[in-house]
Amino acid sequence: MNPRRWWIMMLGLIGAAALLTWGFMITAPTRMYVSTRLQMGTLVSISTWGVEENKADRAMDLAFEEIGRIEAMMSRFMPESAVAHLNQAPRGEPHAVPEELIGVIERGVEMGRLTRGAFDIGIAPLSDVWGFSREPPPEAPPPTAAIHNWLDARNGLPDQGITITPEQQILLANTAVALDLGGIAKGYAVERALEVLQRAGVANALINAGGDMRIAGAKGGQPWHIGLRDPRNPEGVVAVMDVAGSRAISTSGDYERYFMSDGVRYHHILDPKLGAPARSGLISVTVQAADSMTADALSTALFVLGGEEGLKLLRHFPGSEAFLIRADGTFIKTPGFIGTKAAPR
Amino acid sequence: MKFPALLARASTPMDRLVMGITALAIVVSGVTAHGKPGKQAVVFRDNRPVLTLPLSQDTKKELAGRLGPVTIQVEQGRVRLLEYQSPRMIGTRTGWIQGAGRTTACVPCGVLVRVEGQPENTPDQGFDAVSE
Repeated sequence: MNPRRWWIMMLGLIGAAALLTWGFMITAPTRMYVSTRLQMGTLVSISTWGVEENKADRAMDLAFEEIGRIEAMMSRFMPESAVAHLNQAPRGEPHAVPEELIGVIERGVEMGRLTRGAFDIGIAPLSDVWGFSREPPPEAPPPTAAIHNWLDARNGLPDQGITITPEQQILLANTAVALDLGGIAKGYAVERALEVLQRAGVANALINAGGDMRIAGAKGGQPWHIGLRDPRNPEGVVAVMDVAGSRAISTSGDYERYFMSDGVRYHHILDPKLGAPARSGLISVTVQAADSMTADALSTALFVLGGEEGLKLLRHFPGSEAFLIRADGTFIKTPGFIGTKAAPR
Repeated sequence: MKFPALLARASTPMDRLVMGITALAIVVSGVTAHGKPGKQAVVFRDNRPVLTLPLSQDTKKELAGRLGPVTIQVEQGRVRLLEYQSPRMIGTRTGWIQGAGRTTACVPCGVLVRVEGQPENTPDQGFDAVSE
């Protein structure tokens, strides 16, 4: 073959390959698009894969709007929210709330029953006694009398003092009962946000709302690569989870909101039976489940119950798996948990 | 014989034109694949952009957060949040950020800083997200 023909052939081949690659990248985006906002008292981050930038941006905006809508209804800290109004309503009388909120409360009460009270959506007054939502955070535990008063007022109330009437209204038993949906509403919100993304044509997404994570699809045929924070080293990771398909992950730990007093760590995950931070021997619990509300509620409940009781409870939730870290750094991983311990760095 | 002379002998002007277009296509593909590095940081207060800081200019800016002033520092192409101390101040834990798409925030202050641009497909720390 003469050199000129050879050159033309080679250039033709290289050109065709380059144009094919370019064309593929235009028609099938292979980039991840990420957007982050401050919502529900935490950082909410959405990642998408497989859609072009404008479509991803529009979908993520809609998903954030949906989370904002749910926050405006379910945050007890927003004075005009339905939950804030319910918490201020007279006790012992039924109060009308949006149908959507009834669904979340119903699920919360059900989880309270199933966890035998370890998960409790009615403990806002106890949270206020401890003041973990205050800024700056408290520096000492509250007076013991304040805790005992709360425990006495709550003692013996069925379903944690929350009644859903046949007319679909909510009745709170007394002033020791007020809603704090922090342990379930984020899970509901990320679940709804995923539905919005999917309706907008996003099949592959990862939503991370400060410990509540919802995963759909994959990242270019590869699983989403997720780290599990080291509870005692904010920069470190103790486990790696490569997750694809539909899965929810939720982590509860004693390191997000806490204060130290006389060498004791007081964290924000309260045990309703003690009226105080849970002392179950665990410092971090991660639950993988089919949906975010279950994962969210179970991670709190397992943290409160501890390893032995927590794993017994988990058997009642087929398909749910857990990774529990004890105070001494050892861990328990259920057989179906997707993930491995991270190699030390 | 040197390469340019060899190329001139072995190809016509049309061949060289095709070669040039091919090289250009490869460069464009590369840029599309890898995106642009972060050049400036956008500061958000309650999710609304309030300030843009070029990462090429070292500076310290104070912004009114929900709980008081928040200081944002830019130095050597990096940015970080300073001062307000709280377990919920994600900025304190994150420290300096510089890669496109990276964020740092003071949650109770309502302040979020984001380096412009989209992150690489494999983020800086190697994870798509960290569960915490």
